[in-house]
Amino acid sequence: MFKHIFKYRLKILLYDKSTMFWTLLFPILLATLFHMAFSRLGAEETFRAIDTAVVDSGKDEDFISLVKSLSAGEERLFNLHLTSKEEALALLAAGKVQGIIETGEKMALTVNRPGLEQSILKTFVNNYAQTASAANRIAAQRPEAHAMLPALLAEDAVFLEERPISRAEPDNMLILYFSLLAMTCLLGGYVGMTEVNAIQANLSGQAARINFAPAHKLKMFLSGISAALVLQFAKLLLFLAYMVFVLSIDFGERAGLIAAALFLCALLGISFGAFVTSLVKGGEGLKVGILLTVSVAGAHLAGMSYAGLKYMIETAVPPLAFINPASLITDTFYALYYFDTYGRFIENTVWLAAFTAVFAGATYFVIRRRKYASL
Amino acid sequence: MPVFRVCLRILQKNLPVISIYFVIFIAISIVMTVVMGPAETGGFSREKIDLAFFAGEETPLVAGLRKALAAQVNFVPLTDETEKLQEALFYRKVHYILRVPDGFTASFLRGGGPLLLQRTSIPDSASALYIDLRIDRYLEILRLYVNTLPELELQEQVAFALDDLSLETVVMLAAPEREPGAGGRLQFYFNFLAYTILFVIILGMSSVFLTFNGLDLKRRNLCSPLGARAISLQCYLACAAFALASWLLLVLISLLFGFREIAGPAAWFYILNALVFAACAAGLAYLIGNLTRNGEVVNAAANIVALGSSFLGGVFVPQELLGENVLKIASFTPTYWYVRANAAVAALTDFNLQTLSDYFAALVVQTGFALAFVIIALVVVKRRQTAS
Amino acid sequence: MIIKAANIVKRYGELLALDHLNLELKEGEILGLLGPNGSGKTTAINCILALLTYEKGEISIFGKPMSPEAYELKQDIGVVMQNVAVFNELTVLENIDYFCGLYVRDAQKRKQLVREAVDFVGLNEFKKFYPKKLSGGLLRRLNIACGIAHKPKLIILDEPTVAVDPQSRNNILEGILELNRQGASVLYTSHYMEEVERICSRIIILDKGRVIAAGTKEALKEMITLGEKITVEVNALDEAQLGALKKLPTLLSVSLSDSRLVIKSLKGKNNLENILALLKEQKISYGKIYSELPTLNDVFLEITGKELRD
Repeated sequence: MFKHIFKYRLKILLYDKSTMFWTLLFPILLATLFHMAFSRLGAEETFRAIDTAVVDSGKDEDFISLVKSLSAGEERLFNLHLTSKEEALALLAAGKVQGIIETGEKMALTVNRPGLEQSILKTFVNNYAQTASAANRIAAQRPEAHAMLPALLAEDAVFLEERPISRAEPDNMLILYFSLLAMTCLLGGYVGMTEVNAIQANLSGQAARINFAPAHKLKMFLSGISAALVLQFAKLLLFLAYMVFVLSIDFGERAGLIAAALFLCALLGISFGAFVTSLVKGGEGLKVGILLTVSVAGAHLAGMSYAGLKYMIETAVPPLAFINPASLITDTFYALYYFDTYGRFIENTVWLAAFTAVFAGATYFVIRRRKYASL
Repeated sequence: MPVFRVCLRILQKNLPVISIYFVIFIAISIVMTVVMGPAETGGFSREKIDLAFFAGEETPLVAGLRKALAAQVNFVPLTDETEKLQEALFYRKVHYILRVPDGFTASFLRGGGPLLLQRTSIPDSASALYIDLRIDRYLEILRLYVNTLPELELQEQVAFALDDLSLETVVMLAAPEREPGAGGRLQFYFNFLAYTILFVIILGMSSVFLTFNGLDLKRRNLCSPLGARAISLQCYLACAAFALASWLLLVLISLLFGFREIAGPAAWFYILNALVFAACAAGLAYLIGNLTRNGEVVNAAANIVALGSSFLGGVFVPQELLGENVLKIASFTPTYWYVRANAAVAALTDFNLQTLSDYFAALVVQTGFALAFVIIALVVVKRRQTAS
Repeated sequence: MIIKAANIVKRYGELLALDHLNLELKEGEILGLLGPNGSGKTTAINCILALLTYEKGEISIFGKPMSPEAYELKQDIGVVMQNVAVFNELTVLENIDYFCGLYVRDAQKRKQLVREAVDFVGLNEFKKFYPKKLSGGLLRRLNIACGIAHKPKLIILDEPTVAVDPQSRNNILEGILELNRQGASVLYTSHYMEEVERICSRIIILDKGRVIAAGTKEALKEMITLGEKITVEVNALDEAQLGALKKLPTLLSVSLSDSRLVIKSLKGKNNLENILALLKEQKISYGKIYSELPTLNDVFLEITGKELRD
């Protein structure tokens, strides 16, 4: 009986287009999109010259020649507008330049609003002012030393080195992919939903038919869930393989444990879907809506669109992070990737199991009923 | 207008599902806007970042380094154990760990050598970058003094360097009446709104079209004395009403964040932009609703279109950070132009026809998209009708 | 006794769906459960199958009480439901095998049974088809095959012919008779009286959850006063002529509309002859004239005052 149901449930799930879409195709599509959008993130080549107005007071020729030299060529830092103050202000107001630098005894920077490019301008002006101050002091103390300065400044001295303290970098970018994986695990709820629909006589005719059969309902359900679990686990492995081998995302070295965690997450996702399907009263559309929204929104909160959000929520609204299964799954994979030790990972897996137990337990109390008040 | 009324009934029937989407996406956008908005943009009044400092030696140079960093960091005391440090970084208790190895000062004074300062930070974090820059500045200027004025005591050289470092250029905002922190918030909220609007409008409107395009219902409608065009028109009107209501709701919520900015002209341009974008989303929904008769497909399309174009168009990741090629692809989505229009407004303090030209250009492109979607949809409908 | 349901009361909130329903299915018979839509036929079946809870009453099948765990009873029951319930992801053959496999574990035996079921419903050419490719009639046949492949002793069919073309309907009805000949007892629900009249050995008429009549079709027709319905095509009639008609000895009612004179008579001999004589006497010229025996619809109409089919 187990084999019989298992075999056919497997085929049914495999041929179910919408389940396959949500649990496999959709994640792969998104991962590819992520990869396209983020692969350039932080890469130097994305730097675009900053539109800058410089108001020349005539008091600092060094600065003018410096910005001029930085405003030439392909890889220039600035698109320079050397203008009067009035004109510069007009350009700024019209959004044509990001900032105005005024030379003089004390340099001044005027911008429209805070932002990345504005920060770069500020750092640039600061650096110049600070270096100029040092140079002036040196010239005052030992005029002959002033000649050494250009050579010293040209030297590219290195003072810092990166020292990882863990087997892996704490990488924000990975959070995005981990949370995408978390979303995929939760979308596995689709499969759980299909299984509950196939056994609850009040949800489908096929299920009613199964209820007429001379076999224990829960045993039949478990056969179906086993098929769902095997298939879901296989799909998750496939998705992981796609990310690791096609998109070259580093999930760390602990392949065995990653697979084990993935298995737990597959179970969590399925039980989550079963939980929603059996407990929510309403049409299939509503159930799908809840399933999708919790998965997608949960993944957003776990850092799918902005990695920092995960930490901000963990510190600002801890209960929200706690009840969000996507956040827990993300954390589990991240802990496995990052920590040398297993404490965090084990803690997370215990919570994963607890969530699964709650979902499965609640589902059991609905499923075990064999007679219905209405169909 | 019987068809119009039935459409509204269908929408009403689907309200539970639609409102789930609304509530959740609005909640996310609120969380995101509150949590991220200001931090993303606060370039000048940067919050102090949490840093763990471990010194293997105590020299004037190290003392100076502490002073140089004091303005930008909170020194967090931590036990110097690998596991504790890992955990602190993992939970973002600190964003940066700086370690001065024993003998660094001597090595530095010899003219830079094998010993370097050791840092551990979270990659791609903007705040860490500023700490790097600060440390580099301090040591670079100190190096100038060490090399040119070797006769001075190290303590004196450090004092000079710190004095130079204290020179901070004053940054002036051209329009001081604008709250610098909140400025980005409204823009951020409106950018995120693209995601919500696309998703909700596609799902909501498609529910109407799906029902109406059901084969038998369509036949029955076509047999009625109303005429296909009148039916389409009323149907479309109902959907437009829905899109308008969604837009209104989302705009009203924007007041929560933007009540300080809403008086300024920028807010009105954001709101107008959102309206045009909602029209775009409505056109797209109309197209999708006419292309398929399957609710699952609509759901899939809504997710892919909303998430995909938001990622590529710069809703989640700022457009400046996206690659040229990605932006080129993105420019074939209305989302890209919507975000661009918002950015164009955000850059302005002086609003007139000339300065707003970029903004209006983006609006025109969006309008074009909206029209194109509707026209394609009409062609599809026409084809279907004559085919069956 | 194959099925014995006694005093079943089932409520859906305020609505009384089954009102002390009594039903017995004897071995070897085809029992028809006839009633308009919403009369409680499907609810009765679902109660009998222990799928629905009910407030009161007792149900036993093959002489034993029925419950969701009564597996040895379920083993010998086959159910064909009103709505087609098959998996779109499985082929015709796989669907039958899947449902049959819930009853029969022996793979070899099952293979044989599935083959027989496919033959029986005539889906041999479509074995490898997916349900989406099947026409409505073929789909119904698949639905039946899924319910009966395991050769049950009791077959319950809930309106298996709804929305089926006449050709397929004929096939299905013949099939049911064949199953009955092979030894199965059948409970058959329908709101088509012709079907019930054609295949059922005994009939229960249901209205608003109550049994309003039960017996063989002949017995049912005996229950009512109507004996014969005679329709005459006439031109116009005047009051006097009509008055004369109303004096007919076995008359039940007479009505005239659209030039059709309908005379309902009590049971009795010479009804037609009497009418013909009267027509001649009154000099009423007529076109066609025909006589009908009462139908189950007339039975229903006379007991409930409304038509079986609305």
